[in-house]
Amino acid sequence: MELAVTTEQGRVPVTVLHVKGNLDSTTFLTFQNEAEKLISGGTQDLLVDLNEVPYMSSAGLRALNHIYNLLRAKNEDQATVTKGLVNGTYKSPHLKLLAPRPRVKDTLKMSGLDMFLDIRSDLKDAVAAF
Amino acid sequence: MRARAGVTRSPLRLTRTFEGSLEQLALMREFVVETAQVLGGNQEDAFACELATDEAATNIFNHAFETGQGRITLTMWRQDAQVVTRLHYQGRSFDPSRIPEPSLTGPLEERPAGGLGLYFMRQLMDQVDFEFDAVNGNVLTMRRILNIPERYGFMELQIERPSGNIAVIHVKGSVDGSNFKQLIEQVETLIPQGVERVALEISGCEYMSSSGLVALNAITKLLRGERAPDPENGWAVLKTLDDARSAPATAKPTLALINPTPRVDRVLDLAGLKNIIPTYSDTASALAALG
Repeated sequence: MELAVTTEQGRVPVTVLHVKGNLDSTTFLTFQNEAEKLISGGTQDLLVDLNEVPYMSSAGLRALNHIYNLLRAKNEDQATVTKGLVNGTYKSPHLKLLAPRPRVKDTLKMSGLDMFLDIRSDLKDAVAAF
Repeated sequence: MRARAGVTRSPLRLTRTFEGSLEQLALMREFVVETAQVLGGNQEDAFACELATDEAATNIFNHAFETGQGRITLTMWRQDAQVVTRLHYQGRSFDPSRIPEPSLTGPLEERPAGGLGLYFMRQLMDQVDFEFDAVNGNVLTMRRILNIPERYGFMELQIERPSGNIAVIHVKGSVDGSNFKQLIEQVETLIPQGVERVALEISGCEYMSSSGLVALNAITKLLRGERAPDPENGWAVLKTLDDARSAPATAKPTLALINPTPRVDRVLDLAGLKNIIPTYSDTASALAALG
């Protein structure tokens, strides 16, 4: 698995983490550590580009969930989040996913992560959504 | 000839042992994807087996083996319409009923490791069974009902005799565990009639399971004047196809395939048969090669 980082300017600066290769139990930690490094370096809004990920297991989903938790806004009201989750209206404002392939999308759906992670197919559109 | 699905007993059982740690995962997945397709699964079935095996093996390496190192023997076979994937290993046991179902309605909070993996296994498979045995080893068996075509078990054979020693058999429908022997028998009845070379026109064959591959091997042997191997010998039967490679390069092929569908073509390719049995896109070129 290879990782690359770019930045985009929308309403806010968005860090794009491009993943190339399988996200499984042998690679998720490298991915998760890179995201942690970005967040501790000041990234507040992260777009994970999954376009070149042919395969993702639950290990990759756990990493995404961990990153989601790190990016949760400090002032985010837990009650509002929970209510939004129940209503299906809440999506993380700080972590979004770009262009997962069909199999990876199926895996995201099976885990339920798609319920709170916004999935966008277009880079510009994804950046504008932050 | 029309055959109806009976009790399917696929003769193939494929086993491979993986020793090491998580770095074995990629090899295990590759084995499972290929085998699931050779056993008659489509790409969706193969993906389901791939992900479920990955989740199972990840849990075993991480939690069952004290050092993260160990040996897992992976076996796959067909049982009726199911593909069965079995992992056999020595290691710590656990109580699957005590792994809570993950909450899927929100962000996952901290929970015992393996929960999401186990959930995936149960989502992707129709049945998941654990048997723990400290002496003989633990066995995890996962069964999935394959996406098999509606015409499973229906095979139609039509014979054409373009010249004295050549027969073209048009195969329609599905060549699978319920009827592959009839295809072999068809060739057996043609040989005493003077047939020495056979072209199987399979453009109308939507589905070919591993049993169909066994039939192709048996036909190759029959046409070379050898006895057909006992199809119950399973994978060993297919392995004897290696004999075909040692045949003189100048020898004309005795069996040719015409126009396989993409799905069947993929199965032939994965099983390595495309290197052994020549395949042609039309009848004329197949007859030219055989004649």
